[in-house]
Amino acid sequence: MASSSSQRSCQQQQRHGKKQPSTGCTSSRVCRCVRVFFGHLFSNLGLFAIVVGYVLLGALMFENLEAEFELQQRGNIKRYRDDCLKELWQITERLNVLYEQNWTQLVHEQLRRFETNVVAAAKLEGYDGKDLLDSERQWSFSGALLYSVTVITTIGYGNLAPKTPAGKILTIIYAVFGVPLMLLCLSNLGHLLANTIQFAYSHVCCSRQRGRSASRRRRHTPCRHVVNAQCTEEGISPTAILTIPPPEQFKKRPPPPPPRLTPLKPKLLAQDVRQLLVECAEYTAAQAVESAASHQVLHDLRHTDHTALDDEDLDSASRYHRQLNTLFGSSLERNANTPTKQPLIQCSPPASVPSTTMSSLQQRQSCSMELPAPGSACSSDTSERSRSSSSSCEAESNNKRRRVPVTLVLVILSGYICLGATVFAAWEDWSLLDGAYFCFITLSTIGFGDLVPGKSFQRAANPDGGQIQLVVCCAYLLVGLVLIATAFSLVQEEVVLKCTKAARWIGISTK
Amino acid sequence: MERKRSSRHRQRYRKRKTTCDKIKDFIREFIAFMFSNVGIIGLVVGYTICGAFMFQAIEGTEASDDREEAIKDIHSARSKTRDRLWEITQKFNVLEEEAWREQAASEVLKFQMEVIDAINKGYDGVDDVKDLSETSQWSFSGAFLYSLTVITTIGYGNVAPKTEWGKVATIFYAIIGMPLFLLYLSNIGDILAKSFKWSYAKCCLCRGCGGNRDSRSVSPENSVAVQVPEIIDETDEQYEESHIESTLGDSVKDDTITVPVTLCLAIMVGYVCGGAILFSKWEDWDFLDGSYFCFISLSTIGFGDIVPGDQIYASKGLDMSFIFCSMYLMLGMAIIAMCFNLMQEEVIHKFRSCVKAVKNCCSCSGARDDDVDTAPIE
Repeated sequence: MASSSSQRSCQQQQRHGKKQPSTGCTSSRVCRCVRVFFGHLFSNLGLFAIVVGYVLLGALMFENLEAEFELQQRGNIKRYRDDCLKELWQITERLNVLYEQNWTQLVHEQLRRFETNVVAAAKLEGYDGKDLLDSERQWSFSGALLYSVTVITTIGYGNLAPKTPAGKILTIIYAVFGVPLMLLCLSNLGHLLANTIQFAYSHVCCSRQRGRSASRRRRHTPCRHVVNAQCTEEGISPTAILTIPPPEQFKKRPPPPPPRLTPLKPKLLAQDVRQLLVECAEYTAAQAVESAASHQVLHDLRHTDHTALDDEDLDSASRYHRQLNTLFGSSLERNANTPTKQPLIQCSPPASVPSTTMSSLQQRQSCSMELPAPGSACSSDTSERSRSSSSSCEAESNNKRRRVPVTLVLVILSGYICLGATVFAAWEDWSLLDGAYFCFITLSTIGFGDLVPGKSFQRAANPDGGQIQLVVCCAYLLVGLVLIATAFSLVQEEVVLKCTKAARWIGISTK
Repeated sequence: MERKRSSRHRQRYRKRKTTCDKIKDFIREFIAFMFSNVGIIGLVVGYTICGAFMFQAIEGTEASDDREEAIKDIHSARSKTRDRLWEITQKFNVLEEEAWREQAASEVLKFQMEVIDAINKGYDGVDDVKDLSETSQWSFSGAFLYSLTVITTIGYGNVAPKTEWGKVATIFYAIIGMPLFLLYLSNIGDILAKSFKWSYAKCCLCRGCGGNRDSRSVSPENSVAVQVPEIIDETDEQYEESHIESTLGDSVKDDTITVPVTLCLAIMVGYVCGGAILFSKWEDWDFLDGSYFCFISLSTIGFGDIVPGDQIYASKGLDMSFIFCSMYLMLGMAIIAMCFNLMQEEVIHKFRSCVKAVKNCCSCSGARDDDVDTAPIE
């Protein structure tokens, strides 16, 4: 039945003169998947390349501006030292008879003055105690690189800070352009990674479930047509049709719940879509949830004319879909009604503000329908199979996937922090707590700067050792921030859900 | 008869509401108020104050111990150098400048190294151990500023925990505090944005007066249906007013009146400059340093190289500096959240059209199939 319906849908499409790739439906699907993937990758890679270029450019500029001043400071300290010595000599010369007390008192004062100069230089001008003859500088290329990265990620260590006026002005301008750029890149990469991980996770889960329930599959033939119907090609696939574009204006809040039930005029629907909606409505009626309304919807759906796909069908389809959602209450909440404890009709709400800029373009708020046939044992198979087959169909549409659990994401994050902690503790001779503290403070973009890798190496005899640490620190930073963006994008919806649930349980919001 | 019975039942039921229920209701209302738009300010300030006490208790004693040690080191270094220099001077029966200088130079260099070491330990020029408590970094206001920099993720670093317990406490304090502060920003930013939009519409556009009256005649169903499922206290009258205004504004005004991006940018720049002038006057910085400090703080980069009240030989007036700095930061970040909120729509719209144009250029021919298929959805 499904194959005939899919063939009919192909024919219908051809009848309406839409472009049909000559080599058949499968290869066009694959082509489209590949093209979309490369489109996304290119835009992401392009952005990433821009950020890398920006950081390198910043490193060059800051190194040029600040390295001179640093060397100047070293020269200043040398001058202070020479002045101090001169003074001491003059003290010694002046006193014809050297009395210990007089001399020591004068010398003491002189030393005090010298010490004040050194302290002022260290605190205000960033003097690090090195000599003019030392080859390594704080403002080496890798130091400036780490500095640029900390500016645009708003971590801002501060162990290295611009002291020249030009450096300060440049920092301000650099940050004004760099911070939004970095946020954009992070959100992009985060979404890309989140989609990949969710895809892989659902695949892994599906394959595991498929293996488990392979025996049960043969018994429940009524399920199959549902699965196949979801996998029809071209634009007729119900998942594509039921795609609802995201609202125009993104706000931080999740979308408002659907409006109240209004009576519908029966409209023209595509065969498969109506089939699915009918089954869904049947299920709803069977569950005796607001049976009057659901029976009405069922009646409307059953008694419409069979005609081809039209532009208006999208409106009606989405309206039916919304109605069925209302019938189940907020679809994100009353999960307990469906046998698999998954929502019957699931919509992924739009992402919240910081990451919306690219997500609004890449993601569509799509709804997929899981139709458990009457008989609960079948439903898990349908859901899994539908998920796996649909996820292999269209890479871009956000079909319902098994969500990555929050605990897994948290475990991954803490694992990354621990990894960084062990590596840096081993390199810098810190304690493990210091390493974890450093990683946490860095990745949360607080960035105190009291502990920064490379410092201890710079003090040691090996001059070049410190540079590698700094570059590794940069890389760790960037990867960690991307991971955090990914984590946000993965668990956002769930966390918001849980928070609103908790708020309702406490009784804060009364709806 | 039945009606009387039912009313009597109702009365009895009402009396049965125990004190326990009343307490629960009161607690619920209190929590709702605290998380509501105005109460969250109090929550954030309260959290920061608690953090200040906590960090002061944990770090205060340790820090002064370290600094005492540093001061002792400096004193001993000074005396040692002085004695060594005296020995050198005594050794020479005939004082020759060159020879004497050579030997003295190494001593002075050693002294310099020891000063640097002491600075790393925490020495900052305060010589007398007695003055330590007055100029402690971990005074109450210093700890308050520190807690604020943790939850806003500014993270200056001029004051940083040195003890293990301090570091662990910082991590947990941040894990709870950062989402709280983000909630504060989003709530207050929303309120400020709405009230700013409303006052902008009223003041700047004369037509807004008539427009307001018209929009108020729109049926209240709209305002009820468009729910804001945030954590809000719906009995807060002040919010309800602005809520109705805003929902009506959402439906009617947002389409026609958006605050221009230039105005938002001007507000932000003005705030930074205003802060720069104030801080440069109080702290004796020049204007560039002041604006540099304000910008770096408000963007949450937070180097910490320049912080008000952090000079060497700090005077006693640093308490007010820190408190004012904290208030400036909290207000500033709320204003930035408001400006982002106002600019958001326009910027996203412009950005989307930009990226669409770029994407159309990049995947020209091949994407035509896609466009045709997905066109009805868009």
